[in-house]
Amino acid sequence: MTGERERVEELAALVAAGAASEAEERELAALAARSAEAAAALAAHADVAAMLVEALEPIAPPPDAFARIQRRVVAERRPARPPRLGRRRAAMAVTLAAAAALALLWWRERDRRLALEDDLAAARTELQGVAGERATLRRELAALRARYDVLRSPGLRLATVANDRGATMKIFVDQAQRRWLVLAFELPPLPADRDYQLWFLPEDGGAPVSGGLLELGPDGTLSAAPAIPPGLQPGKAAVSIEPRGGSASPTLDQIQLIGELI
Amino acid sequence: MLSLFAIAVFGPDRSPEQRPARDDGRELLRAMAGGDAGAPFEAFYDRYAPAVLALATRVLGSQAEAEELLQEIFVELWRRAGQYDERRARVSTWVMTIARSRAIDALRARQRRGGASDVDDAQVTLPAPAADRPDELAERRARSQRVRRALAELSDDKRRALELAYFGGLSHSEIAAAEGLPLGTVKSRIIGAMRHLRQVLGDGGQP
Repeated sequence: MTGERERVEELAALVAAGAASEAEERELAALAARSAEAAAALAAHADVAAMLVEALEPIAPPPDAFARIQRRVVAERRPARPPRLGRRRAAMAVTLAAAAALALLWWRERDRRLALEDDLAAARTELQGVAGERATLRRELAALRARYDVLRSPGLRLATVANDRGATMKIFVDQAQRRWLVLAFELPPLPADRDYQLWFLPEDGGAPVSGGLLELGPDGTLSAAPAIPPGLQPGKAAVSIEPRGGSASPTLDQIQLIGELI
Repeated sequence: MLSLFAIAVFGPDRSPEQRPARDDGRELLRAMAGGDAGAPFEAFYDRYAPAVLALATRVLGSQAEAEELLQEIFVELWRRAGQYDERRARVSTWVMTIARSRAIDALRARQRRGGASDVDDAQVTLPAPAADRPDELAERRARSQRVRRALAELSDDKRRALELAYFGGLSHSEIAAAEGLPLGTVKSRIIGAMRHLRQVLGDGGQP
């Protein structure tokens, strides 16, 4: 089969099955307009597609269905013979009929256009939602990757801090890269106006340094990946309850966990 | 509005050897085109309404919705009776093309409204109208069996792709997205299915 003939057969099959894109329909319509062979292929496939209905069990319509249809068409029934009109009146009738047909066509196109606009607006809204969701997933993925990077470092060290109420804090330290990962477990939920804040107490007894807020990760664990200033040698780590957004220094009577680092 | 497909189908004339075999529906359409809404229109309706209703029910998934659409379809067939050209298509092809287009339009309109169908899982099938001549009934049943046999010869993948396109109104790209398949695979399945059916049924499904 030649290339073009094969293309015609493929297009005809897709169009007849109702599966073709608009571009493919236009391509086949153009081919069928200039080639009897293309028109024949389309008609043959159309006959085959119409036969698919014969595989269905026929369903008898309700008994009164035809009567209702007939009443509607009788109201629109074309006259058996067209009325005899003078030439001028005939021309006016043709003009009015053409105008009515154009108006009907315009109205149908308008409805179709409005429906397409609705579809487009809905698709745009959905796309915005998907874009937002993708951005969130990317952030979560980056956070999980950062966590994993610390956990797989060869010189990883671990310190565990616990209190007498069952809460624990695990502090993973990649000393070579000076990366930290802090995971906290069994800390009670806080009201909306409070946050858990991580602190590092320097070995030299200096003022506590904030390690940032503990945040709920995608896996439901409170965690922080603090950036430790280069000169700081943390001796202890602590977690306190602070006002939403954190504090400049820890609220001493709100410290929940405190312990030595290795 | 009909797709470009329907406009193309009813476009250029077929050559004499390609014209459809004799089909009594043509006489009925001629009478309808002349304004006769009586016996010819009723005979035309009796001949095609059960199949049109089955098609609409299959597409919409609801016999109740399909019965409402049946009215619209036959009113349109009535209006367009004068446009039928026997040189371009069989009457049955012409009828089913228009019926399928309207059914797919109704399906898409319902989807835009966000509505779900009251799906009748059990399709109510009733015997063919008693007015059918026994020979016509036997002929129709034989054609139906031939079509079903031809469909059964298709692989499940090809049959599903074809059904999603023809009865579901999905384009090949929509099927590919819904089924998680490459576009080329979907196209091959549909083209392969239609080729096989044309090979087996290409003489009009006559036994």
